[in-house]
Amino acid sequence: MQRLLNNNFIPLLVILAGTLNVYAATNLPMPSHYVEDYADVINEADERSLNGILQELEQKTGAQYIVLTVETTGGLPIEQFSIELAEKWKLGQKGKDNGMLFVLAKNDRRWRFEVGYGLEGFVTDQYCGRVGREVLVPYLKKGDYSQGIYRANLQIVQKIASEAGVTLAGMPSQKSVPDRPAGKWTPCCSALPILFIMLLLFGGLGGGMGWWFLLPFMMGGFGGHGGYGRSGSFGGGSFGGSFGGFGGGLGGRFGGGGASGGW
Amino acid sequence: MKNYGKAWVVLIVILVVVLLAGLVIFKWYISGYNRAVSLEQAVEQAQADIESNLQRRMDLVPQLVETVKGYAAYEKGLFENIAKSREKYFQAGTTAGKLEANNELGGFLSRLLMLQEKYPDLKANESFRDLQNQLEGTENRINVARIRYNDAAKQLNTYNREFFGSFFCKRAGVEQVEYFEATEKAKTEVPKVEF
Repeated sequence: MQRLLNNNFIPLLVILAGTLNVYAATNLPMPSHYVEDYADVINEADERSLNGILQELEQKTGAQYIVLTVETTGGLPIEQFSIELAEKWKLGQKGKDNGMLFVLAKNDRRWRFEVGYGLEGFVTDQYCGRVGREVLVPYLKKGDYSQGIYRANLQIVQKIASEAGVTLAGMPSQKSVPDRPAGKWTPCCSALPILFIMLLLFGGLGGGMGWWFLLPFMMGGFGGHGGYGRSGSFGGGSFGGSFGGFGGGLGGRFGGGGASGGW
Repeated sequence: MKNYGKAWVVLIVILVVVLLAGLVIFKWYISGYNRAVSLEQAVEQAQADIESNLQRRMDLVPQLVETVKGYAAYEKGLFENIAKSREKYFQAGTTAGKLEANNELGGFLSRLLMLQEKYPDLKANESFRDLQNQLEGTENRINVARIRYNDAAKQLNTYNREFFGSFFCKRAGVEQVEYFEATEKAKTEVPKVEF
């Protein structure tokens, strides 16, 4: 045991010193809106629309989805930057771990989708990677950050919403990014799309009815009445504030899932 | 008679005080002991998390190699090295050994991924890019799991060195654990490989 200690003491110090530095670097405050555009790259219309959709997403599915842009991560790899923020903010509901964080670092030219444990099953690394390179990056390359961020994140939002079987009223229609490798289509899997469509259909129906039920709740957002008694599924009456306001993380956990890239 | 009664009162007070003190010490003992056990459990869970992510990565590797082989059949040396370090992973008995083999494999894998610069068809292949995303994802998860393991290990080892902590750890049979160092460079850094 003594030997073990001696051998590991110096590296231990190095590791600890590294961790300390890192934690000091990400001191952004808890977001007050679903879209926090520190780098100022998203135009007002897109920001307002995205904010509304993300709020609706949280109200209907409980998933907490934050879109963040910064000038730079301050020398940190974006993977580290995003997981530290996601952990600090505890996005997503406790136990459900349904948090999402999108980060774009403008000057570093890096982006990342950070996926909470509970969403990893369907918002896979592969899917995030596809959305990144098929939707996000082409816009970023043209310099249209606003539309890139808007459309790419809506892809993921749509995925979460349809998985939960809800329809988002504010969602514009869009072509969705396919989730399976096109080349690997074997006969055994041909039942899957049918099943999926059926699920979507039934899910869609359920969502449609849920929407009416939620109407008073959504309108209440304007007046500032907190807690409509459906707190169980919404994680507390944290939506009492102004329209588009983010109430804070609810204890979701992250394990490093997602994808990142540059442009 | 009067004195006799007073003595009784004193005796009862002392008894109550002793009982209360005993209760407090008992509670303190239980919580100290439990702390040692739960810290050890956190470390074990973090270690299991590292291992499951490592395993997932190892499962992805053959798929990736198969895909690349279709485009770069004569990079045989690289495929062999990957197979060898994958073998090394499966032979490793400890998490530290597995991590080491994983790091070695990481070097070869980044060279494999670099092949896309040499073979543009490979770069355009959807399943190659999907696999690359998955591989990067697991590597990132391993890294996160490793950092969390070190945090848990630090807490356990600190407790184990404290005056009372070491006592409880000994009672619970909890020992110091080793740290897993980071060996791979920052993710943004693109490895420079000569062909």
